[in-house]
Amino acid sequence: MSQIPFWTRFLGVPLVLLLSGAFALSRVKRGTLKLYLALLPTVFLLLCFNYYPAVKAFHTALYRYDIGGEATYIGLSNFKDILADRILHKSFANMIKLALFACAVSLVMPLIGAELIFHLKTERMRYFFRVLFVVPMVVPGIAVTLIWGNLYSDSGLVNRLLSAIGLSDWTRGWLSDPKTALVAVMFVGFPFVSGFPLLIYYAGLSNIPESLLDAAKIDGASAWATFRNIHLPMISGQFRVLAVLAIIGAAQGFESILILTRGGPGYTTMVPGYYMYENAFSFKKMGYACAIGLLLFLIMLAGTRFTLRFIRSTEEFTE
Amino acid sequence: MRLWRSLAFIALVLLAVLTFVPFMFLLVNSVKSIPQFYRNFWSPTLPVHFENYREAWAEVRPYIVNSLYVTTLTFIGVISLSSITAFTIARYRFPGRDAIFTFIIAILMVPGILTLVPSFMLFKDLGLLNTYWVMIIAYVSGGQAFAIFVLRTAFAAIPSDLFDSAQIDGAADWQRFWYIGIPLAQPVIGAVAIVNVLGTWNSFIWPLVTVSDDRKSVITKGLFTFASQYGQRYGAMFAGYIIASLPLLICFLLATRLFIRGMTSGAIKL
Amino acid sequence: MNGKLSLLRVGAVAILLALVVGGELVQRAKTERAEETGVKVISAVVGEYRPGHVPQSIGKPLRAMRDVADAYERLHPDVRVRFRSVAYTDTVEGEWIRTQLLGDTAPEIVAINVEAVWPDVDKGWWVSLEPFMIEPNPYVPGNRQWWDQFANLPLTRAKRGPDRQLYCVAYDMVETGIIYNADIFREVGVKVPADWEEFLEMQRKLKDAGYIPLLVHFQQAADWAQDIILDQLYYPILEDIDIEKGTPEEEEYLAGYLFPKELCYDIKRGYFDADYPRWREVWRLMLDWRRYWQKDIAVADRNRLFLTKTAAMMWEGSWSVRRMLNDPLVDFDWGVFYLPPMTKATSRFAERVDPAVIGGAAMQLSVTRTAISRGTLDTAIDFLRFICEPRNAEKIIGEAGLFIPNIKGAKLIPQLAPFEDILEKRYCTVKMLYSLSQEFTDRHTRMITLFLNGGISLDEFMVEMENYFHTLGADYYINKYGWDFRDYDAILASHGIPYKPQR
Repeated sequence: MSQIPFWTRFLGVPLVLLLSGAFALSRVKRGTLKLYLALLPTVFLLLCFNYYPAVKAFHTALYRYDIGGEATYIGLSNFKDILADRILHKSFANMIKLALFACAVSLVMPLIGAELIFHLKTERMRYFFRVLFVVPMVVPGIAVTLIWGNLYSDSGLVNRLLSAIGLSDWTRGWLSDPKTALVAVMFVGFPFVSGFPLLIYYAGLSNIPESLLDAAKIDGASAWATFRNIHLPMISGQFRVLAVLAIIGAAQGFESILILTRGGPGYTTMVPGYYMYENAFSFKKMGYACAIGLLLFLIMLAGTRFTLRFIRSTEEFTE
Repeated sequence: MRLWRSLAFIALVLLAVLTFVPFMFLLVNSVKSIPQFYRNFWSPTLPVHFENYREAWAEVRPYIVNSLYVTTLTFIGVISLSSITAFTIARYRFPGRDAIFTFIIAILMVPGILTLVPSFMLFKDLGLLNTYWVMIIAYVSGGQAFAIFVLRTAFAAIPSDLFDSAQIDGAADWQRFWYIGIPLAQPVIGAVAIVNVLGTWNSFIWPLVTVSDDRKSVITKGLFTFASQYGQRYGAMFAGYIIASLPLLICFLLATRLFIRGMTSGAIKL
Repeated sequence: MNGKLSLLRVGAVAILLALVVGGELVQRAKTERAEETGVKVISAVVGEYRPGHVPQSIGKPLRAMRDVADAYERLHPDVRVRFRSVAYTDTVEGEWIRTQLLGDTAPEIVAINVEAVWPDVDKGWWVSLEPFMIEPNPYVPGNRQWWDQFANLPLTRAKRGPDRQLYCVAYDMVETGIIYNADIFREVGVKVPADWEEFLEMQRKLKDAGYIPLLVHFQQAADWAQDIILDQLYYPILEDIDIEKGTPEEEEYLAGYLFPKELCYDIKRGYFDADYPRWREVWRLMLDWRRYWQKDIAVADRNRLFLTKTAAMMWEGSWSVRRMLNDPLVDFDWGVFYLPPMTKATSRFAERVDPAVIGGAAMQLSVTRTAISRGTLDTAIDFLRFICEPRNAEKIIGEAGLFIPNIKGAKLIPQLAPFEDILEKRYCTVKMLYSLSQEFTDRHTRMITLFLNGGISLDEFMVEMENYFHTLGADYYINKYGWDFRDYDAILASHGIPYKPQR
């Protein structure tokens, strides 16, 4: 590393902010200055503790780097390797399949849950069921994967059920069979009603003005029509947010794969997130891992832009 | 109509039961010894082994205060900073607004594994390793993107009329924020708070690599005791998780009651 | 505006909490800064022997290591020994040790597979123990060199890295074995097999009787099964492939084992190519065996299947003895046997070779650079020597009952006796997954798993293997260490051994 004292790197940040602040002052009305000031703490924190490491990480994509060792500049060589890496291509295909499924269920199931709760008669019941769905959020991932590992095992529930209904030819090692491993991993987490999306949807639903709902009732609209024409548009803002979060989560997450299949058999359940991890910490190819990460980042960026444009926001409905 | 209601109710109960299974599993298995666990994965067994809780408590107790401290400060930091920022971005127009927003949520898309080592080195150079601040700062900073992303929508969804009439009445910006924005976005703030607290409380990689001092370690470190190369002590581990989640559950119950309430009529009338 | 008030209330409570707790902690920090001056503190991660740990999740928590450390502290009042627990998330070798070494906050002593140490030696992260091994251990009267303390010297010396330096103390040994349910054996009418054909036959009988004959995890298949079957088929041609004999002293532990350089050479010669029949046979035999394993070889929870008598046998290791002994619910007779040899009936390449041993050192203790930067190197080494004192070692290793002591004079618990016999056997020809790069090991394990689960055919697998054996395997190491094989070529020439595989 260089000999320049470390803290000088931080001089840069306030300097930049000061300069841009001065610039902004000269350009905009007084009223907006305090807005920028309000944003300052957040921006400062993000710049120092999130952007700096992120930029460093992406910068490492141009190097061959083994953590703790020497970093050798190799230009775009890592990206050339990415183009040739069949394993990576396969893992991207897996990721897309997993992401599509995850987005579909994690957006729909909690909505169903929220709707069902919303239609309950008393506030006590509604509170009770909300709690019922929030409490499981404390269960750690390892417990969930343990449960599913058992469900899929030789004498687990899935195989036993199949044998019981006479389909014992269909029994198999669900996580070992290359044909079923990915699908088996997808279904971990059934019924996919997680607390956070449910709460968000519920909040959205409870924000719908009474007047609209009353009007619909007076007009004799069915529950389904109310849902389609009033609920959905009013919560589309929440929907967008959750969709983006689902995409980001699906693109990066690999904890259950790590525990259940290790990306196997072969590479049938390998995903870019796990492949990155292996490259960074096991194969000593941090530079390559960072290049993959940069690619993932760009894909997520594009994916979320597309999603945000595709789903219209609530504002567009109410204005 | 009656029929649909009953069916809907049954469906809801079914979903709730299925969602609750992992938690029941945790409870039931937290009082099993490993031999019992090997023989009965699902059903409760006798005798009940409450000493799992005793062992787990001994492992987890030294770290509870640390977890509480870090999580509380993080919570305060994240919620206060992100609601101010989200409100500003949601309700005001100014040059660079969309750019700044994209800038903020882009952080969500950076894979965490990659920034682990650079962040680690950063805090090391700042001399913050083995302190509480390495966790608090990292969590406050890291939690903002998500919170701002979600809160912005909540603040944006509040009808402008409310703010306009308040402005006419002479309310300052911060008053509009505090007296109108916050209360109306409460349900979402609550949801975000829950997720943030949960994430901070359960995070283990960051504390694992940055805090080696036992006196400052958090609960997740205590829970590691039960996992080893040659087998996990599931009974005690589950008991540990239950104990560790008790503060969380109390917090959630509070949050659900305080924050997530149906809107009472009155304020919102179009 | 009820909501705002409650928000205020919550906020106030939170701030109050933070202040109170913060205050308490500041207090604590102050009192702690007062203690611990003039005292040397060394930290250690000792794997399964960590005080308070319950190995195999069964039995009482361990305390021997702490007792021994306390005795050490009494002998050296200016030293404190602290034991740390580390998350076994994936492996200790993962991100934890890397970040700790990077930040120089690692413990002085770490129990880690020494193969994970070798690649990082050139970063100065680990301390070579060579200079210390030739010094006597002060805690063992009459000891001339620390080397002499180790019961299995070949195994201990074999832990030297590619640079011929020793980076770990091989404290104890571990070996695998097949644990079987004797009651089921009696019921079905099978017995411990004497050769491979018998072995397959009794598994068939067990399967027909409705039991899972054998429980194997894919990691074990890739690791243990490969090494054993390979050894069965390649031992007969050892003189063609085993080049390096080394000095007379090294001969003792180098002979018969393919070190990384030899392995790369043999790969280049074609001994692991798709068209080499012996290599192909290894995999045909393994796939043939697989049909007697459980369907899902990814699930790690095999104990359940064995203990609920769904399966008749389980391929485990010496560590399971502790579990079987301490589990109060075990209600069947059980025993341990080792894999039987393959004969001509199994394969034309087999020659009834007594199966080799594949285990090795269990707990390998290495010293990190933290010892140097904190000036605690001498203390760390001294403590290691202290726990190598036979009575101390016996206490520590015996209490856990997982592994076999590698210290002369440390007695073995009687229940592990079968494993001691097993360890007397000849060491295997090569440990394929521990010889080459991490990336190679990962790829190979995955391909083996895919093959065993029917994802690719034997032909495809052979071609795939040849490819990465040459590129990821041999070429990577050859480039890294700059090997040219002229010395090996010369040895071949002088012994009249052909370069290409003949048989």
